[in-house]
Amino acid sequence: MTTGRIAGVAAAVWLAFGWWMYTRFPGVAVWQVGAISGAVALQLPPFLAVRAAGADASPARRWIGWWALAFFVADVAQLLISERVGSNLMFILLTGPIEDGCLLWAYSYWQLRPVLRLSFRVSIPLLAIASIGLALYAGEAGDFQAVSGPFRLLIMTAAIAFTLVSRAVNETGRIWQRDWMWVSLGTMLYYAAYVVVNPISKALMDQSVELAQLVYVVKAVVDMAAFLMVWKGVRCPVETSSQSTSLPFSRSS
Amino acid sequence: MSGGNLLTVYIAAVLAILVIVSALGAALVIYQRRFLALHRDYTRKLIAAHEEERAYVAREVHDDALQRVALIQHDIGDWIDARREMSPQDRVTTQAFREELADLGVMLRRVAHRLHPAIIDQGGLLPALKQLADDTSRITTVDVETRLPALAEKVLDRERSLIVFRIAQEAIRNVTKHSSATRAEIGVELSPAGLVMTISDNGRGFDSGDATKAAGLGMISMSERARLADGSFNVWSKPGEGTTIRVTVPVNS
Repeated sequence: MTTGRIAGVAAAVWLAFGWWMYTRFPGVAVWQVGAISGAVALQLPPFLAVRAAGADASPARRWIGWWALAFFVADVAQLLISERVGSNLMFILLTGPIEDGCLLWAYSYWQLRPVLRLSFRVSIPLLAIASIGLALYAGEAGDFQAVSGPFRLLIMTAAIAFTLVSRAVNETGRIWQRDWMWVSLGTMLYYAAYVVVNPISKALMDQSVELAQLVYVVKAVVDMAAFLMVWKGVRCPVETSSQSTSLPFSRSS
Repeated sequence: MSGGNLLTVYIAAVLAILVIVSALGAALVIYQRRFLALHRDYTRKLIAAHEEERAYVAREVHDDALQRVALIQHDIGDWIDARREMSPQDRVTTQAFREELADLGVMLRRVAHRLHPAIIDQGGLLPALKQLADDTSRITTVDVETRLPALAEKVLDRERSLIVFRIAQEAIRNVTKHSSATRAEIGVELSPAGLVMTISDNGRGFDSGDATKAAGLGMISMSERARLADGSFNVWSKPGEGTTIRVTVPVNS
């Protein structure tokens, strides 16, 4: 599947999803629908690009693809649930650890030392347990995101930033041709937007509902930029030299 | 930011740090265990290959070289007997040949035994240690005594018996080569911890607290072999006070 075809598929999903949202949420403006549906549709190209690469895709890129697909499925499901049932924050409790787990597993392949690779993977169940603990602590679904947002941001940005810096320091080639660089920039942008959107929206809710909604639209645009960077990352040229360690039980990225 | 929000962010931050530190700690422990297991497996295979090679050479020496020496001795004996009229000079020369060959046979037999003590397979560890002590006392200036229990059955399997015997061989070799000792003792006793072998000498000793002296290749070899047998290895020594090594190996259940 070429880049053009992937873009075509994304555009088709964008239009279809946008049309569905426009008919289901008549109170939302067209440009807002366009932004939100675009943010969801652009989660597909990284997954499609990895699938198109087939066996040439590294394990890290494959898991980035799964991460993007998890986001796409979760966002679509959330919108369907919110349209029919209303509250969908328990769904976030389930999907959040899955999404973060996929990303951490992907990033484990980009670590240069086996201990760090292990620590990324061991952190996945710990993250899931902590998320459940936070949910139980928060009690009310509305408070859950106020706590889980900073928690996820801290964990994920620490993992992403550490990988970005450690790989950049050891990189001998052109850093802007590295998948981990673009994916890290995109994911950091996504998680940063994720954590600030709720408190800002809540703060603006008292002043103006339209402004509060605008925050989500801005987040959608930022998400589009983030996933475009991730898509760029998974299409980077494959590295010719392995960055794996020499220990026999470690796996190369 | 309100007090409640500050608390939630604080909790999220603490939880995130806990997750990161726990993941790193768990990864370090897992990595260390895997590394040790790999190292132990490698050492075990190396020692097994070493023993196999020694057994092969011992077999070749015993089955081939020794047999040829015996055959040559026999042929020379027949040749001498067939020549009734031999000058005294020739008789002395041929007798010297026979004695040289007999010495060669003894030396080859000793080498074969040292390479692979067949007595371990036939009698077990204790007879092998007794023979080691007797051979050392006969060949060197060190008088080696034994203090062995009267055991009705073998308490160690073949693999562990060979490991303990090799440790004793290495220890006695150190006594004869480095210690300037005149007396040594090989003691074996059964304890709740397992079979305990103690080898002590009255040599010049060394500072066992000095890491550079205590970590010679022989010491490391003995220590590794003891670990392979799931046992422990300890050494006590002081300059002028001799040396004692103790090996404890669990017995067959």
